[in-house]
Amino acid sequence: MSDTLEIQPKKIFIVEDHPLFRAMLVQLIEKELEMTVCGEASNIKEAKAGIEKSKPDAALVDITLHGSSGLELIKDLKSHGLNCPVLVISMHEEKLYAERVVRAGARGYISKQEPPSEVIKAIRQVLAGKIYVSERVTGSILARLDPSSRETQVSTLDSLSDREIEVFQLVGRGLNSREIAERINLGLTTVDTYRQRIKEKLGIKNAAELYQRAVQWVAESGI
Amino acid sequence: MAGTAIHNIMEFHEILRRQSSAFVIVCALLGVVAIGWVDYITGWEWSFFVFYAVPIVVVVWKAGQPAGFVFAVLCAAAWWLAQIGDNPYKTYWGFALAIASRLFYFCVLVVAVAAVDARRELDRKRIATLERAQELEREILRTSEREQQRIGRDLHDSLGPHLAAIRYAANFLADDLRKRGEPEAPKAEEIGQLVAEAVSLTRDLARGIFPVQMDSEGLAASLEDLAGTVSRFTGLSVTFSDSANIKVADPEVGMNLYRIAQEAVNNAVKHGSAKSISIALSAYQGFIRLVVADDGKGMSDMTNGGGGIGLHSMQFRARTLGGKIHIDSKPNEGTVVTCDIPQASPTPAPLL
Repeated sequence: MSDTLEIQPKKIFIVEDHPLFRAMLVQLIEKELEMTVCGEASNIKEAKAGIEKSKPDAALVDITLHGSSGLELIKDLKSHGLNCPVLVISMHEEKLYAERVVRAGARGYISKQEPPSEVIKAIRQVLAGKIYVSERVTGSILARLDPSSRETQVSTLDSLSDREIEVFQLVGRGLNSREIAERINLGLTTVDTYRQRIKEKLGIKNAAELYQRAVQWVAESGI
Repeated sequence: MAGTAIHNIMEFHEILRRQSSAFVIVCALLGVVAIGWVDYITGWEWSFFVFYAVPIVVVVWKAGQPAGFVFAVLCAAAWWLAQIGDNPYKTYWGFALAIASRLFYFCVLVVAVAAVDARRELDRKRIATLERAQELEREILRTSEREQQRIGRDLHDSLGPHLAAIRYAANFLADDLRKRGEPEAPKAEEIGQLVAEAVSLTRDLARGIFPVQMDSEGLAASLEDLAGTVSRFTGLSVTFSDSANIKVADPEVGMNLYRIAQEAVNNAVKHGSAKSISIALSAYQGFIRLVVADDGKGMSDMTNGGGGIGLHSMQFRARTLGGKIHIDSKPNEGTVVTCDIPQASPTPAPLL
């Protein structure tokens, strides 16, 4: 116990444009012995100056700041060489935004709907150098990694000829038959024949399903 | 041939519109004098009679019917003066009758030109009214969208965090009470829980009113949410994919694309008896392409059913963004709705 008291509290910087909520966050963090609030900002400009000056151990950032996006702030901090880990706190649906902000370089995402104790838990994780997202988000990311659904589909593409794969890929990129015909210099009826053959080989019933499968395949294989 | 002639006349008409009336009338007067003079110095076999029509038509266009009648009389007088020394008429009566028939011809010409002109003026006004109505329609759509956006944003960015802050305060109070061993701690906690539910309600409300957030990632996130929500409510398989990582900076574009997708998905659910629907964003030749494909029974039923209005509004929104909608459907082959919006700052396409 005496050890923790001697350790300098970790500095947290808060970027939040809603004054009342910001005040509550300050109160919440100050209640914890091992952390302290080293600065506050309500917009991106103040935030950049404040973070540069106070060199916090972590920043708690709202991603909707009067129209501008906190995502920009995360990218800006990176480009300025400020390696302050950012925990994003927001009203947005976590299932839609958690992955996006982590991809943008944040170290975690927490919804304003979560209880305050969860916020403290998230800050601790980020301070420890880990990434925080809620269990629900972790679950959905892991579910997507499950290979059982994907590989079967990719493997069935082996039955397609090169031309058929080419057509399949163009369908997946949103081109209609006429545009595909123009792109690969084939007649419209030839393209339709290819589509028909792809459907037969992959056991696809109709145009919409063909479209859906193709789009998925393009998205997954990143072509 | 006739087309270009009409076009040239229209162009001439346009040029006339820009001149002052006095200038045109003086020119027309000089024209009458010139034609009369040519008519005078040539023999009566060389009749320049039809050319008097030109100044009369010009004057009717520019100065209206009464001025046209004055010119008709002037032209008849000019013709009379030109023929007075040299004409084939044996009697005064014959000559007078010829003048009268010329004058009658000129007057008919005045009436005809004035009638055609009035008709064209009416058409022009009708088109202008239609254009104004369409502009108004667009403005109404924009205004209601803007209002919804404002209410949604206020709920999301103002009331939501406010309630979340109250929930924190209630939790702090519960913590303090518990530390002091007060029995009211659970009550404070309960208040916190109730306010937490209010936060959820607020957010759901905000999303229902205005689903597209302001940042450039907003459209993809909202479409993903749309797919998820529809899938949950209907049990259909609804997927979203964004292969090109499309960013839409303009919130108006984002909002309209979202509404188009929503309409297309609604149509598929309501009229298409689809089992699976896919929503996809991609980029194609400088366009943002939104595709909504379903495996329902196709469009032949949809156009006759309630889909007509939805279709109209999708087309209207696409036009507002300077884009277009293409619907590809065959019976039992599903429906593929493709919407292309220019990626650069769009200008509304003309509606007529």
